[in-house]
Amino acid sequence: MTAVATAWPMRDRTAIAGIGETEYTRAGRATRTEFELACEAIVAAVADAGLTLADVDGLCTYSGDRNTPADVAQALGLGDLRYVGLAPGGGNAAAATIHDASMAVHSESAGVVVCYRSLCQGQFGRLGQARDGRGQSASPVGATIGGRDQFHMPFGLMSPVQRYALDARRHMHRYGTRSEHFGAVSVASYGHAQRNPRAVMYGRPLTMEDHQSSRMIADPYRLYDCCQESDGACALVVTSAERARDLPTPPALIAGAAQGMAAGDGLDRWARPDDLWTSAGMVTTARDLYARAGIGPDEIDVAQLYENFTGQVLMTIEDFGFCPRGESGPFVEDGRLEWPDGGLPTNTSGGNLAEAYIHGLSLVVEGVRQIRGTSTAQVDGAEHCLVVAGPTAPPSSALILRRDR
Amino acid sequence: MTTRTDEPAASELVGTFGLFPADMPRPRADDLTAPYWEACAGHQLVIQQCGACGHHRHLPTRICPRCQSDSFGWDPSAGTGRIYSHVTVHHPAHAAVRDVVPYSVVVVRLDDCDGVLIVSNLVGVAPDDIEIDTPVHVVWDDLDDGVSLYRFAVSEPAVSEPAGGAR
Repeated sequence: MTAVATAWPMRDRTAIAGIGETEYTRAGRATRTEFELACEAIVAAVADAGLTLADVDGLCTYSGDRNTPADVAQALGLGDLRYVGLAPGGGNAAAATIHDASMAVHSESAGVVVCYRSLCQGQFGRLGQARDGRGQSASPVGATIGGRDQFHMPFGLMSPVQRYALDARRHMHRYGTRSEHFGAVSVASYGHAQRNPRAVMYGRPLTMEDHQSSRMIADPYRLYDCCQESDGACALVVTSAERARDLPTPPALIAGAAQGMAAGDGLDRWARPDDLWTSAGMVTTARDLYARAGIGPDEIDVAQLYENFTGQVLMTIEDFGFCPRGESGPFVEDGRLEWPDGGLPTNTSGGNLAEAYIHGLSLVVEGVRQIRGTSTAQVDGAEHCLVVAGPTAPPSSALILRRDR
Repeated sequence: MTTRTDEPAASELVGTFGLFPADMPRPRADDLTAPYWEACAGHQLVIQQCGACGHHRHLPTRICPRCQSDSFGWDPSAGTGRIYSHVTVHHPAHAAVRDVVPYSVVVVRLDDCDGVLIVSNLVGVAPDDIEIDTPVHVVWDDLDDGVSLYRFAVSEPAVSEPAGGAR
């Protein structure tokens, strides 16, 4: 890796100082509204940071307008807000929202910014069903379908898992990747969930045989290749590294943050060049991220890699340089993703597959726990945690969290 | 519009190939895509082509990504291509397909029109037998009320045909 001539101006200058989570449940089992869960998570994160709500002067979230910063601020009785961020998309923005908050803090546009995401698929419709439109304004499909989906749904292409399966099929064709390689991602996430009493799949272990015998959803994707549908919320407090060092818990420094979309990529999947079908679309984002943090993949001790679907995690591993292009299948064999003995422990609290699906923000929370030393599957002496948001969901985003020395 | 007395039940399979039921969502054309679906009604697959630089694109858009021109036309395709990817759907994401799963969706790279990729279905082949790179050609599925959709069928390979267009 070439050395960077000058260090990224924000490297290690901001930090995550507090984390908060609601109970995580299967979709439909939350006992309060999605909005209330957002508020609960924010209150918890601020308390965890050793701050008060009066200290909060910025709010960042993503994926639409159900729980807007303005509504949350008013509901919680916050003081003046000086920064508001609403990143576009869904799980692709789980790291971008932290990046957003850190830029606000570093530019002194705000002093204490809370990032949050509340997602209750049990209350607002399931992301995996056919929908007219995207995001939180989507509606059920009627007799006709417009927009891009007029070219998809009449032919039976109707939901995300089906679209992502088409990419996975290309990876299998091009590189010989097999379903068992997808299963290695599931087995790792579920295994870590068995150590995490808060994980939705706690007490429900998964073997490779369970994965291989599970029902097919959209071939090659089986049931256990797919993220859960959950109800829950989480939140994180972003402030300056200096301020974070004065607070009760060890700061998780934001060593690097990056986001973006590859040239030729986009929501029109058919316009992409060949290489983007077998990639998470994050090669440039990964390069930016490592350069900003001043490290390479060898320095990553633990990773939280967004599982929309397992095959996309394999592509993420390739984009972030843990193995050569096309070799993520062999890379994940023999338990390489599994704590404590694997070379790249991944999704150490259960991930989207087995902890909860809060559009990826819970992966950032687990990253902070790894840096603090409080994970239920703690990597000894973890110094650097990579967190990658929604792969093959442009524009995506990623973070490197660093332990304060 | 006159009311038909012989309308199929919502769940009855319709069309030339009986692939999907009558309540399968149909394309809702807008002013951009209307010529595309009108060509389909006449059994012609057309692909949007930039009027300035000649580049083909699919899905249809208003601006050329190569030269940013808003001038375009519709170029007839010979309708031949090769399977680029495929997925067999087992879990229905919509009520209309509850009784037809498992069914397959294919992505075809056309031989012409700058090798654009197009989503459709492959008729006459079991899901487990679909293979990438198989040469295919358009066949027309006449639904009802003048709606026709392109599907694909396997082509007999020509003796000296090269592989599909590079991209």
